[in-house]
Amino acid sequence: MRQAFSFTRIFLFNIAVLAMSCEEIIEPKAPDANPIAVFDHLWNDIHNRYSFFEEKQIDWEAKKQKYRPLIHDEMDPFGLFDVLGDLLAELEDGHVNLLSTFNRSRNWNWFEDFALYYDEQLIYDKYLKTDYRIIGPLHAQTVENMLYVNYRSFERTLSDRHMDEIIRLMQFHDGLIIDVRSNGGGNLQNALNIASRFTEEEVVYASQRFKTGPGRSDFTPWTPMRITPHSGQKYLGKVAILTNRRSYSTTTFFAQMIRALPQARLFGDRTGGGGGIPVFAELPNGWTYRFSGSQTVDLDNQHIEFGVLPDQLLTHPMDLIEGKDHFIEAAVDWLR
Amino acid sequence: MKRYLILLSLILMQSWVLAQGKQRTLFLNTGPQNAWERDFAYSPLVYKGCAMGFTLGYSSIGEKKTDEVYLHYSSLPMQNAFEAEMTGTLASVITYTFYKAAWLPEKITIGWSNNNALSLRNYQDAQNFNPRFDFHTSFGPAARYQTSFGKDNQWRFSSQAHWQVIGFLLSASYVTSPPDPFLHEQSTFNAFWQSIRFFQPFQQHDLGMLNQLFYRLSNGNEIGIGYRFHYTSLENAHRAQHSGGHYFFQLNFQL
Repeated sequence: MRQAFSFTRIFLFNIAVLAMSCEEIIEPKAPDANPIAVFDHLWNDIHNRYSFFEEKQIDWEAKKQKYRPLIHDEMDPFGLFDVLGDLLAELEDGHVNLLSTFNRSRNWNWFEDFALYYDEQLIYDKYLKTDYRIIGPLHAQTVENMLYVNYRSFERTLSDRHMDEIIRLMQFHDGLIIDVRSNGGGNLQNALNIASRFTEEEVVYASQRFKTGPGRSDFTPWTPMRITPHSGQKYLGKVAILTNRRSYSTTTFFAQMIRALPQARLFGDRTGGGGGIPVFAELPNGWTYRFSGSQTVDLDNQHIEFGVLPDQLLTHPMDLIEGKDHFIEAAVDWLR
Repeated sequence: MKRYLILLSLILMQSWVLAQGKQRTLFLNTGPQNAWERDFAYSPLVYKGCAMGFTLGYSSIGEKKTDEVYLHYSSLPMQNAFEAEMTGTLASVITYTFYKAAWLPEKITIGWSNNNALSLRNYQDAQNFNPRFDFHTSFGPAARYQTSFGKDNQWRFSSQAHWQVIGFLLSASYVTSPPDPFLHEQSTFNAFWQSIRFFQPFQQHDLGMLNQLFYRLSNGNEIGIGYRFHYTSLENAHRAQHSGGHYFFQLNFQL
């Protein structure tokens, strides 16, 4: 009897010990991280989930034929990074990057070949001067009785209290200028926080859809994007927005919001685009990448990936004014 | 928080009503939990980590039927082999119902289980569409072996396992966090129903095991140790897998 009891105890103990650490036993093996496996993973994921192949007329299969022969098992990480970076650059998309511990690939064609018409030194010397107000991420100054507001990045949080102060200041000004030239984007909510102060009713400003599968036409239905009016104080007077080719991503969305508001007007140059929301992912060798996974069109069904046109284009050499910022001057003229 | 407390109270109250005339036990356990996760929508790499896990449970033992419910929660900092970070949150409500069958040995009971499990994966390097998630509610067979030993049978060992074969799942979409139907304009109710997918046997997997060893105290309560294992693999827009092993110390209170 005692022997049987001991046997049971030993048996149970063995069962319990054997059952331990099951989660480690079934843990999957690391994926192949050789250069060819990494290339194939990246090419396939972009092939399946990137959202602008048709709009940009990109033959992704041809890019594989071009770049895959350059990959070989003996190549070092730096060489592999360069080839993968070149592959991604073919997408001509500022929302596409490859990120390693030693570099970040990018394609900046959307602004590199264009004049930016933004001289920060001139703006601070002549317009903002040294006594400008710093309201959160905004720098604000009175320019010919207009409130000039410079917003450098939508990544910096703009709160309701910051906008309350802008609206309060508008009691003492005849018009509002918001300068988002060379603003590379950030959080879309910050753009909505501004636009929601300029309307008393809901405004549809664009439509958006997301990839749902590997097919070129696998998207969700188009969904309207709206500006919902803020419940607090608003400013319904004239608003001028200044953009250039380096106004990208959320700044392009912001420009499109402004185009949908009747009392607002865009001045300057076409924005840089960036109408696809970036999706993030990781390669088998630990590098990360991002790519556009959605599309956005304006009210005329034009893709804002290619930028938003201003109401008043100011890129002609004749528009330039010596010693002055001709974008600000044009905005002031319109607001008067 | 208040809503969760009310929900918990309702669950316990319902269990208490159903368990009138039965032996009722409330149990609490905590201890280190190892886990790994892999979500192919973000990465082919495995993220793994360890943190404390917590379980609150209740059992009602009748002459021929045993009901158990386990509420488990853990939030784990995880890393992949390249030290990229992710916070994995696992929460589940799993129930077991065991029946004594005349044709089975006395120490073995069989029945079924229902697992309602949520996994959230918050990747540090992903600035959009984070966290990714999956939720499934599923049913399947369960079995338990239980034996007592010692001079006064004060030691109790139990080992139980479940395998989920049918149910429903809801998970992050092809590129975004919310399921696709939530991305276009329609009622939340419609979006929810359109997002639900069938938990198909052999395509979706969920199984688990629970081994426990208890010592009965003179007042009838028990202290014990245990190991709880689970493995889940769900295929929707992408495949997501996770598994965990929870090593715990447990207190059982007779009600």
